[in-house]
Amino acid sequence: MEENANHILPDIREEARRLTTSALDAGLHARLLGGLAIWLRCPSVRSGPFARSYQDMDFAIAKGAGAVFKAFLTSEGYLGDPFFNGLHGDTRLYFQAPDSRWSIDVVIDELTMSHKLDLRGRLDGPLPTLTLADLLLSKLQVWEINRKDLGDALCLLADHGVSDDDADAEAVSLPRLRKLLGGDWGFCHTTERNLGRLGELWAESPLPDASFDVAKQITTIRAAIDEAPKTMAWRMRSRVGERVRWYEVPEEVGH
Amino acid sequence: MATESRPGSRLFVRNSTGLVRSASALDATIFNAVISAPIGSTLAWSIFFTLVAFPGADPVGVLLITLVLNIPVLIMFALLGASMPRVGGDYVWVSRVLTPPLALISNLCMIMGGLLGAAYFAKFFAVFALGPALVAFGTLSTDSQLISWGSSFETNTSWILGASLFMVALVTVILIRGTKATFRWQNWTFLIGMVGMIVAFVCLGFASQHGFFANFNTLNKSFGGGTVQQVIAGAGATHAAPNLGNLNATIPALFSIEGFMMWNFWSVYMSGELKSASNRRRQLSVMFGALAFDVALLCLGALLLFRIAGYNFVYALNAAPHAYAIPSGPFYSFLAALAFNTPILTVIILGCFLFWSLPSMIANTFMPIRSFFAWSFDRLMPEGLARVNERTHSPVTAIVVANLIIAALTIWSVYSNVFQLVLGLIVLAGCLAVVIVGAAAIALPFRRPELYKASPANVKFLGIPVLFIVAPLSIIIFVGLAVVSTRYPALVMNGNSADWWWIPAWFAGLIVGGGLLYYVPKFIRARQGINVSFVYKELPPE
Repeated sequence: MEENANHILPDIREEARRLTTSALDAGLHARLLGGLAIWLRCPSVRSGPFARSYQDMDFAIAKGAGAVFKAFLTSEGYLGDPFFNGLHGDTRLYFQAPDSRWSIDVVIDELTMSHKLDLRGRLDGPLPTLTLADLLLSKLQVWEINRKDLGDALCLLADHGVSDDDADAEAVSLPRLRKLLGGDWGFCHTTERNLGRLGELWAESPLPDASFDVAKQITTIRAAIDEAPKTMAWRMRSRVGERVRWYEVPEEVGH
Repeated sequence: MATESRPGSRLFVRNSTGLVRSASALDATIFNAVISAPIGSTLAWSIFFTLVAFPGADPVGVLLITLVLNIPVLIMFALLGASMPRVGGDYVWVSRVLTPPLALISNLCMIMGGLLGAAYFAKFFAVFALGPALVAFGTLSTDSQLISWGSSFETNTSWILGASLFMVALVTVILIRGTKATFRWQNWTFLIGMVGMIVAFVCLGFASQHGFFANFNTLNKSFGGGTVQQVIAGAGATHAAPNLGNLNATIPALFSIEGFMMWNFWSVYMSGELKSASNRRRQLSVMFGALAFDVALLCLGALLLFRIAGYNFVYALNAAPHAYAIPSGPFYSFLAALAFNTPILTVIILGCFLFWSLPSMIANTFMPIRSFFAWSFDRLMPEGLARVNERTHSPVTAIVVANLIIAALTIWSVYSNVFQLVLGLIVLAGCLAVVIVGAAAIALPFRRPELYKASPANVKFLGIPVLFIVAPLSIIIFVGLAVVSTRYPALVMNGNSADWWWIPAWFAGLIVGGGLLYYVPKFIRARQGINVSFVYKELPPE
């Protein structure tokens, strides 16, 4: 255990980079998400008004990769929460660094917070994080969104363009946004609300060195959402609207 | 686990994870409804026998009394469940507030209810669902082979055993597939069962007594039986009538009916997976929602049957007179199908009725598995019992162990004459458990003051802590039930008052058994250098 603990780097950001590289090299269907994924992919978040500290790492893995990924994290010196992993292990896993410096949350096949982001088939790309579209959605799906999440989303759109090419790993895939948000009214509603708040944040704190104008990006994304074909379920749910709560409220579970 | 002192490790700093739990309020409400009094199976078997067993029994009146009696009980469980929403339910509360041996006693009582209940519903599927359905389908289609098969499923032990064990195997597979799949199966089979019941209610509501009697007479005569009047006369039921004021009928009927109405708190055992489990309103709503649903529909179902068949004919059918010759028991769904006696309605009513066993078995089996998990985490059971399969992410070992026990109980129920008796004794086990939980509820503000002050249980009514009202009431009600069992030999003494000693012996067995479940592992662990007492100083993880 002492020897394994030495693999863990003192800086969580570098440790996230190290783990994701190791996972990729090992061929694991595991990709980083969350704030550290944004840090890895978006230079704007590393300095400036939206730079921040990180307390944990988040990974998404495919359903069949659970045992292998658990073994991978354990071999890297991380400790699983046996009770939590036993009870919720079909959808979530939880690990901690041995000195409790930080934790690793693992979601399996889908990220379920305020809304459900289906990640099946999306965890084998060439890069160590979720796709940019999924990263953006993972931030914009948060109902109780805070400045940290908005800052992450803003930096993502400041550093990466949007594209109609789903295969473009360095752009936010509009087809992905259309497909997901055209099938889930609640997710779409929350996202549109948060896009509005993102626009306000950009107006308040624009990044002078940004590669892209976030306001224009938001306009393009809104247009894509508007023109996306809507499923029958979407349309029926839209008739109910806000009269029924359309988002989940994640509970804080202690470890 | 946080108190273990292995080097370099297990002292988790109090971090938290944002988690959307997997079970919704609807899942939990259905869970409570099907474990306590699943409408279809309860109407089929659990109510109308009281008419004969306790002449003058008024099941509708008694159901309304149970509604009132369960109010303090459910409030107590809801407050405790919201304060300590943990896998293991009463095991966690009682062990952390009172003492672990008492917790094992109360939990053992509940587990026995769950395991025996699951075995009962496994057998129920063959005898009260599949058999009558095949007989009815055979009668409709004049297919004697179907009638023969149906009769075999109702009376032949090998056939009953095969169908019952098939249900146990099915439940095992479903549980292994995980929590989400489990609740999907529970909800869909409940829905299908309810469709059949609604159709049955509609038939009973719109049919005429004249038409029902005519259909019955024709069918019964085809098997060599008599008319409605002959059935009534043969059972001596001509003057049978409900009389709630007849305490010699009402009180034992109350024991019998409360015996299955008392379990609407069962969702506390899924608190680890229930959304907003720490919310008092959530806990109250899923319990009272299920109670109201069960009582309302059971009353409606009974009244509709009495409307169409008459109290004395229902009495007569349950007395098994010779004049009744149809090779299917006179179960509720069968009678409802007779109201119009049309093929499509019969297929819907009896076909949907087949789905009542499964959700009840799932709910009954769920609790023991979670208890084994909680015990294992506290080191009272081997850690392997809580081991989660890497492929299915479910506690396969615990699931298989629980279902093997259920299979053994099922086999016993098929070949034994005393299984019904044991079902009555399970009510007493439940009484003991509720009394222990009541004691924990009263003790909570004193033994865990900080926990109580910060918890949803810290609520007052007219200046009195609610727990101090509902817990003593619950204790009184269930001690009263236990006393009732000593006064009416038909309940748990097999009709023989000389067998009164079964009751204290049963309680003694539960107490000794629960105690052993704690002290034996404690001793074994002590020899391994592990003091299990430490874990009870704090709540287990969420």
